[in-house]
Amino acid sequence: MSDGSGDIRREFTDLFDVYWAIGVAVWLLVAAIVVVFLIRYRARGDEGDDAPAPGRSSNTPLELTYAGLVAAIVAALVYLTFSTMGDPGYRATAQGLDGGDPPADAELIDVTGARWNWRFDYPRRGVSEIGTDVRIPTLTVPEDRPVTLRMTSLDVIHAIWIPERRFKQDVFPGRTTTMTVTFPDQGFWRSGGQCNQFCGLRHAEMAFDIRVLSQGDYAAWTRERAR
Amino acid sequence: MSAAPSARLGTRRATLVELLAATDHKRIGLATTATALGFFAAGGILALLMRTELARSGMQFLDHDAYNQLFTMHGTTMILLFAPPVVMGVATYFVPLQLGAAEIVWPRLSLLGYWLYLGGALTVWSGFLTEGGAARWAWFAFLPLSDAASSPGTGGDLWVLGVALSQLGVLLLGCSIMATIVRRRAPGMTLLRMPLFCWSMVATLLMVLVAWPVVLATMVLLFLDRNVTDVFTVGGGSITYQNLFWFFAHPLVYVIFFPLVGVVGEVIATFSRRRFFGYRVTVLSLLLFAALSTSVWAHHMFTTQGVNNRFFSLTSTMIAIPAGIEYFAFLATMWRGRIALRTPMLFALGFVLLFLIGGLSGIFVASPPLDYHAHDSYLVVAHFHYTLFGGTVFGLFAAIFHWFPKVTGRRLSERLGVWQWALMFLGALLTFVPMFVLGYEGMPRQVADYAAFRDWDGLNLLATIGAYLLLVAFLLFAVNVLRSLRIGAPAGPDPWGGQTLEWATASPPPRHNFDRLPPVRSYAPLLDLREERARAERALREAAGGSDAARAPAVHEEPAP
Repeated sequence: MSDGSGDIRREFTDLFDVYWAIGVAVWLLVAAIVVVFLIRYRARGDEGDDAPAPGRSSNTPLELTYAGLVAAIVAALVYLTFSTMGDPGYRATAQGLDGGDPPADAELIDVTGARWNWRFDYPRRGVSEIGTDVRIPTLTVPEDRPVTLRMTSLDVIHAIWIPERRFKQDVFPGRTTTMTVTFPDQGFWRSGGQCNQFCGLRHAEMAFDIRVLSQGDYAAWTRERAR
Repeated sequence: MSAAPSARLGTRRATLVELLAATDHKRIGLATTATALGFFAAGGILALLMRTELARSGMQFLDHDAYNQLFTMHGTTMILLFAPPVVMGVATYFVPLQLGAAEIVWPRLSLLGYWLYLGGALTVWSGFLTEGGAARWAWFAFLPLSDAASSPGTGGDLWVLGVALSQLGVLLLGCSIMATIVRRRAPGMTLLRMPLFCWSMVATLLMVLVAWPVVLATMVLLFLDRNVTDVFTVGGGSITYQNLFWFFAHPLVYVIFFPLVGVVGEVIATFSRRRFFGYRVTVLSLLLFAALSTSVWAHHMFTTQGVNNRFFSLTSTMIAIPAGIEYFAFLATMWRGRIALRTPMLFALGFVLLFLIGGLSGIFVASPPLDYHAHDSYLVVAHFHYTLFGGTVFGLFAAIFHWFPKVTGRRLSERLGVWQWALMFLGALLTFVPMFVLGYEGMPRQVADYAAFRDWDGLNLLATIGAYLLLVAFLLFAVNVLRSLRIGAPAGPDPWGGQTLEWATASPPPRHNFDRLPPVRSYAPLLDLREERARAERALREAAGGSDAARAPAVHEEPAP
């Protein structure tokens, strides 16, 4: 997967940097103006002196020009967001009304949420995984290959957040939602996925581990588990 | 005008009947504001309990069920039982004064609104007294978690009823204020001569009139769903509920800071000794903001796959345009002013700087690719606390410090106020900045605990320390109020050099508000008088030979009455 398809992380990071930089710059600018004005225009002497300070109280052309400038920044941000949402990688990850369909070669995993546990079924492999009272379940996925989670709930709304992939998706009863993620590296993330929609008593503990295997190990694991 | 009223409010206790049935808008406004501040304290205590539990990983003194009740009730209290009523209370007191009106229109409706609010709020809280405890479904009560099967119990029903009653109260309070604005403006006060605060209330109340009926209907439907028959628990019902709820609840979050935009604008103008800059454009921007507010709700639903994310991302980001115009006006008003850094001004500047963090992070979460990570994480918790704490609470304290002398006839201590401000500013940074980092690193909101291996203990401890700083700040405020009511210096009609009509009457104002009104020729009628006087003095000096070219100190003389 050289095109990074399904990897939200790159799009997230690119966009994050721009938004973050603009946000910090605007805040610093405003804070600097406030501080400079406080120093420069602080009342000398009697602060109770309420005589009016001179100066005009409107400048409509200036204000409209400024509004146009803000509108231009907004337009640029919206453009960036929209073009990111048109990116093939994003469209492979975020599905539903956001656009894309799961890639045809994706590994399909059926996810069922129920208070307060997850169940993962690998329909093409005959493998199933569910947590127990003492152990949260583990989502095992192949490395560097898109994995489509086809999710539903048995009771209330849940959500799956995988912070490592910078992505989440709500999980509804009576509806199916999908998300596609790709893990470029092998590894193990303890509680790497967690419920992200408050669902009652033990919501805080409704998590699952994520284990990413090489494609060979993954094939071996599924054969082993299917037996 | 007699000096009697000023002595009376502070010292003589009103009889119970007077309290229960007073139709004076000042009494209703004060009761509403004081009640809302009581709920602010109660909601704050819940927050402190949560922050104490979260200071370290592992469960210390709460269990999951208790924690879930706490954050549900904290959110419900702050955003439904404190913030909308408090802005209605302040407006019920001050809008008629700023308009030069003798009374509010429909005072009995307003009074009914107050009692519905109080009764509803107590109904919500009475859930704690029931066997199963209070509601525990987060303040947005998404279905099907909030249906009878998933959340049985009386506490939940009390929550639904209480929210409906209290918000009906807010709506009635709002109707009365709106009618007053339409019908009771002083002679000469055209719409474009209304003070900025009144205009911010117009924009606020337009949103209230659109959004509040929706929450009433939604709560009725939720009640039916829980107790009578399936309403939302079929088909796409859970998405329908979210659409209905956020259609109310997003305008709601603008409703609870808009009035403070008006207050902050007036405070900045007053303490910069300038006329508010760009009044007309700001009024337009407030109306534009209010119009946009009804088309952004589904940015709360980016991760549902049930809405058009592009549309709601576009409308939500466009909010930055009117907000940017308002910030420009704030700063331009300070430009070339003579800034008196008194406590109301400090809180107003706190609003400017802290609310900005909330606004800028709001642009961030309005972008779906970013929100897919941020949604329902501590990043969002940090974001909305900068709008609600940095915005609403700082703005509210600007209003309180600004108007307390008008309401009580006594000044608050500037010294204690400065300490309160400093602790609040520091506390707001210390409590909520770590939450941005925690959210980015993967901490979800509404969790009673986090695992020790996450290494989130340090940041959470910082946030908890910040929360206790805020507690100290609010205790200082309580001390300040009590101190002022006993030994506060008399304020006089106009302690700050105010610009709007409420400063043209006694403090506290008499029952009928005004004995005499100054002429209203602009949105800052008292500033007009001061400018006139300054011009007259200049002319006199020139006529006398212009020996003293320096500006004579302004004669501090009350224009009226």
